Amino acid sequence: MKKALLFVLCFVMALGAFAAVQAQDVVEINVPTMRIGINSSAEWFAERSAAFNAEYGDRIKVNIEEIAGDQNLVDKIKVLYSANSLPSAFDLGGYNVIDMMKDQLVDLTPYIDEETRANASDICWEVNTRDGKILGMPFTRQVIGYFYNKEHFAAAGIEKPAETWEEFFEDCEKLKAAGFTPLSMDTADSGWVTSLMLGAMIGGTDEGEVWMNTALPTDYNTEAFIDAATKIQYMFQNYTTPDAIGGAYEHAAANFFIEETSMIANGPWMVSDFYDTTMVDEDFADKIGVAMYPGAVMYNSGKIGWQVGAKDPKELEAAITYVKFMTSVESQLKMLEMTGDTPAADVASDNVYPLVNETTALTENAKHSINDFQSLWYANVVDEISVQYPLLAQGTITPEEFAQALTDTAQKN
Amino acid sequence: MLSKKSKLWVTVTMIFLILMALISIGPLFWVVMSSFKTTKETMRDAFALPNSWNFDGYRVALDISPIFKFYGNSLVIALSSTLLNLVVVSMAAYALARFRFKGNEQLTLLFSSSLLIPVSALLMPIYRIWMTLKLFDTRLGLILVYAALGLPESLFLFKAYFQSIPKELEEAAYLDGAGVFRTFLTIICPLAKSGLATGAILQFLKSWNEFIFALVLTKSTEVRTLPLALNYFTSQFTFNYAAMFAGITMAVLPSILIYVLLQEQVTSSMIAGSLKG
Repeated sequence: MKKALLFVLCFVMALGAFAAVQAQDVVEINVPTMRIGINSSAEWFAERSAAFNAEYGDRIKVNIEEIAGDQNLVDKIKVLYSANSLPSAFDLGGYNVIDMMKDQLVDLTPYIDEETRANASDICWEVNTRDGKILGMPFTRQVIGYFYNKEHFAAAGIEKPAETWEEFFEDCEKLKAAGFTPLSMDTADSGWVTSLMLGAMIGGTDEGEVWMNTALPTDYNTEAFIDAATKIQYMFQNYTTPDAIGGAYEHAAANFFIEETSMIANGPWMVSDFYDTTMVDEDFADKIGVAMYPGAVMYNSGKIGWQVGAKDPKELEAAITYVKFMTSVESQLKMLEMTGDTPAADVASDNVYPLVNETTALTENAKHSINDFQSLWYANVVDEISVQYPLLAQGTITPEEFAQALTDTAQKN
Repeated sequence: MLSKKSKLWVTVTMIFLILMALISIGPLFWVVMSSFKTTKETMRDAFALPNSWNFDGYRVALDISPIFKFYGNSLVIALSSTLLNLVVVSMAAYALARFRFKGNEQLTLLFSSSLLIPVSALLMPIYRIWMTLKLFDTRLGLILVYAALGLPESLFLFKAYFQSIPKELEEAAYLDGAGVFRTFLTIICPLAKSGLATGAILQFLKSWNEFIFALVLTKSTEVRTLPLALNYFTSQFTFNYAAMFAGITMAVLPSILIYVLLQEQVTSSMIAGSLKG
């Protein structure tokens, strides 16, 4: 009897020890995300999270922290950085905090083998590299042209999208004469739509292209920048809706969706909205075309990817596994098919809306490929734009003063 | 019979009151009406009435955000922080208002000076302390922060109110054998009911609406509060007006209902507070 009891006791203890070892093997990582709620990639994130759990769930537990709102996530990451407590892994949808946080981000270079490197084009790795260290793992590319309403263009007698900025302004006049508001613009949240136009104007020359691919510029007092700001001021005062001043992306997009405006600068992730009948009329997508900016300019660059802040070696290993999974070619293709966002790898899918592939195809004929301001400029300059655009639009400041204000802000870094 | 002058005065007063009512109710009416419209309808004409009573916005809002869980958390956290603030600060204010001791003025100044510290400067230190004390991602953590954030306003309000109560009442209580605590509890608090209610309302509203600490000091949906839920309906490149307005309606209607039910008490305490403060 005693022997039997001893045997049972030993068995239970062994079982307990085994369970304890098993439990210890599960490494937890913290991943904050804004890909929730109505975020266009919420569905992608949920699907990829489920797939990761199915494959690695017995070894890695991912604690997802839901942070609704892109800017809220950025703000929280900034606080965590100040407290030296960056999460295990995070991505900010392309928002650049690498330069601010490079001292706490994990150098991913030792973890990038040939196979992983092939998951993104060189330009994507370059955007995520600082001083020879890879600080972000790319998974999407920034490909942006502008969308236009073909019906409006036809009614205004415009046969094809403008090839020069002179033609572009002439087309705006024609659209205005035909009773349309030519452009969707905005000033809030860094004036995304407006700033894309601004960048495209600057990037129309070889010199401008170099400037629009330069990280962290500190001097905005260039001839090309002031000239572009002058054109933007004119656009604000003549070719856009009154709600552009103070309005955010959603106001600019809404004006395009209800066909109040004829053109909007934005990326292919917007295309799925063209088919969403809770937002637009049923045949809306058929009326929309996509074009490169005058001067054959396209936004075609890498995008800041997943960053790792894990400190503990086991947590770090788990975070790297997670990030590699989220940036794999399979994840990129899912992203393309579910959201229209362009993959970092040179892959394509037929299972997407035609306008998405048309946008990507435009990059092949572009003379100038530029990067966007949110990826390149200092975070405080990106914030300052929202303060300065309304003043520029109302004529309270001149384009020269606008450039100086951004220069002053950049030089505070 | 009213004179012509009186009739004119009544008419002007009525017009003014109707105008004020419209300004107050208008935005709320607009939000509620917009919650029944589709996003397309809102984009086309923001001020038009809905074409039909569409509940899709509510369905989507409930699908994508844990709004009721956040609502419950808000209620628990706001009520608890209000109670804590009320109990602790009223006693401190009473001591500072009634007793002369060395450092009284300096202490008052110290408590009030926290008004001058910007919230952004408090975020990081509080985050680190809360992590050390294991208060991060807990309701208690938020309750303590909110109670402390309301300290200067409540202290100022309560102290002024206590000072306006005649000292003779307390002296009579002491003569009858009551101690300091009993006097405070049975004589002062009932007399200062209006002032305490004013402070409680302000504290509750502050806790109810607070956003940035709720964002930084929590990470799980189990403890998060209502202001965070409203961000589920907009992001940089997507928006759903129907869900957003439905979410706002669900968030604000219960508070308005409570206000309407307790209107008399709230208004009288606000007026009393303003007169005596």
